[in-house]
Amino acid sequence: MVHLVTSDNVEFVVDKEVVERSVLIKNMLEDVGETDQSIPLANVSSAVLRKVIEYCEHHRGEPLPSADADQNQDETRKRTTDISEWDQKFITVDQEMLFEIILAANYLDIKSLLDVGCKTVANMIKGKTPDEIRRLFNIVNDFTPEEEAQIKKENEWAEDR
Amino acid sequence: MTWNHLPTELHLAVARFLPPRDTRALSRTSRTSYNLLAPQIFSDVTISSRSALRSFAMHVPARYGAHIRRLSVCTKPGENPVAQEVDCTEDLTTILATCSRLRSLSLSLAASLDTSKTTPVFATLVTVERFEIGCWGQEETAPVSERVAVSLAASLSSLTHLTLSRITRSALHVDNCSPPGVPLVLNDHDVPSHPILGEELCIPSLLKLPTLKSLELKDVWIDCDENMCVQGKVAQLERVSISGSMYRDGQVENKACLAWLRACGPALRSFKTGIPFGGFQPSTCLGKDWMAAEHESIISPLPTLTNFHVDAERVALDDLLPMLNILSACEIKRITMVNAAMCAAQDTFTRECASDEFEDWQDAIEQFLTSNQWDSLKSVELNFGEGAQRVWSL
Repeated sequence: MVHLVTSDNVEFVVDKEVVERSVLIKNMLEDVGETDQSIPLANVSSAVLRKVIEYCEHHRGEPLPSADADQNQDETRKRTTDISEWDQKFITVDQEMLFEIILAANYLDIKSLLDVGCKTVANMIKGKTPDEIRRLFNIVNDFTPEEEAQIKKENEWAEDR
Repeated sequence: MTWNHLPTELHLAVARFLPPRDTRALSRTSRTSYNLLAPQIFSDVTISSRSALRSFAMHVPARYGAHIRRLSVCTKPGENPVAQEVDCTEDLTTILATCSRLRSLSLSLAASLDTSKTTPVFATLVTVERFEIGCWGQEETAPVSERVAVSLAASLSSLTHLTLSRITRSALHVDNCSPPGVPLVLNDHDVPSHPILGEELCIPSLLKLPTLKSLELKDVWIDCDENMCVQGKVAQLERVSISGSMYRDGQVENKACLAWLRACGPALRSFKTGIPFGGFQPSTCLGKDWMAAEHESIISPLPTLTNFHVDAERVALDDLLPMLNILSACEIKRITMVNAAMCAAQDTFTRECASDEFEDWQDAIEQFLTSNQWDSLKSVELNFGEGAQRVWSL
């Protein structure tokens, strides 16, 4: 079992096989060897780690993406934003938690979870206008009217079919 | 935690899953987003009309050219009537001159280009490895000459993969063998002489390009290449695909296809054909006597092939065995026969037709495998779509 301590000082005891879906922790354990000492995760809160562990437990035993296969897998991933039913239910959370999960997956190096999070955000963006995306994510429009006109022109070629 | 708090690399990670239109929408939300996503937006550019080409040349800053890795341009008439009268050559060369890192270029042309202006720019595209050029309109009214296509291809110093699609042969090169009804380009004598190929800007001259590894001729008339003879071949072609043309004369095209196979050179590993080049031989003769007679008539040897692909949509079943017999000395390891149209079809009637045809092809392959001993052959694959597929592992 592996002991993890979150940023809000909550300790989790997790099965090694489950926690090793995180490449960061897997490498850490390989470097340090068997240890009873807790691993501090200063960038992850307990609420987020609970979700991450839930994901890792569900996907326990599934093959991890190999480094060699990265490029091909990147191509495959680009082609689809399909998310499995279980993952979809799992990732149905509020926006703040969604971004926290993405950050944690990136920090802990859990590629499949990072993909699920990024695909979910991509699906939220799809089909929306720039204004709608701004409202969705609270993005401030910092273009001057001149810049906006220039960018509109720069992109006209893509609208002409 | 909000979108704005995510680090840049995670914004990019999300954008990786967005199609181009949505990436552009996201980029236009803020200055930061635009600067971040411009390299992605401009890495793969598809310009789908003449007016879009005009708009790109006029309004996209030249600095974005360095982002372009793949450029696909179609010069069909677009929505903007003002741009219809403008010559595409100038706009295309303006854009290409900025593409310092271009890897792949595709041109679908509604009208020919002025090669005296385009060839010098093509010579600067030293990173382009893949080039596709084709005719968007009708060959009879708006052809793209082989002299234009070959001149441009020969100017790309790193070219490895070339596809010519509905490129029209030039009267300068094929005048003495053109039958009526086959469109030819008559006014392309002004295509300048090329530094490598000189005046010989015919399609077979592509065999003189030292970097070329893969050549695809899609719907290109090749009957005039029946007696092709290229001096100074240096190309190390590994893969060739010849689909056949709607203007073909069966017998002549078959001989021309075989002439191409012979001319490709010893590096050839994969040959795909939609032309049944065995058809001009007696189709019933499958024995060794016939094979010996055929060998005597060979001018240059056929290359050793690893893969032989038959376009089963274009090659009739009756022509299959004669074609395979011609190739018996090629030490082929893998034969694939695919009918792409039937593979794609979903409706019940076509699926039933596919199933019937598949049975006939299957019988012919069984007959071939029983009456021939090809030591090198490891597998034969037949694919007519779902429920009509089979692999023979030998």
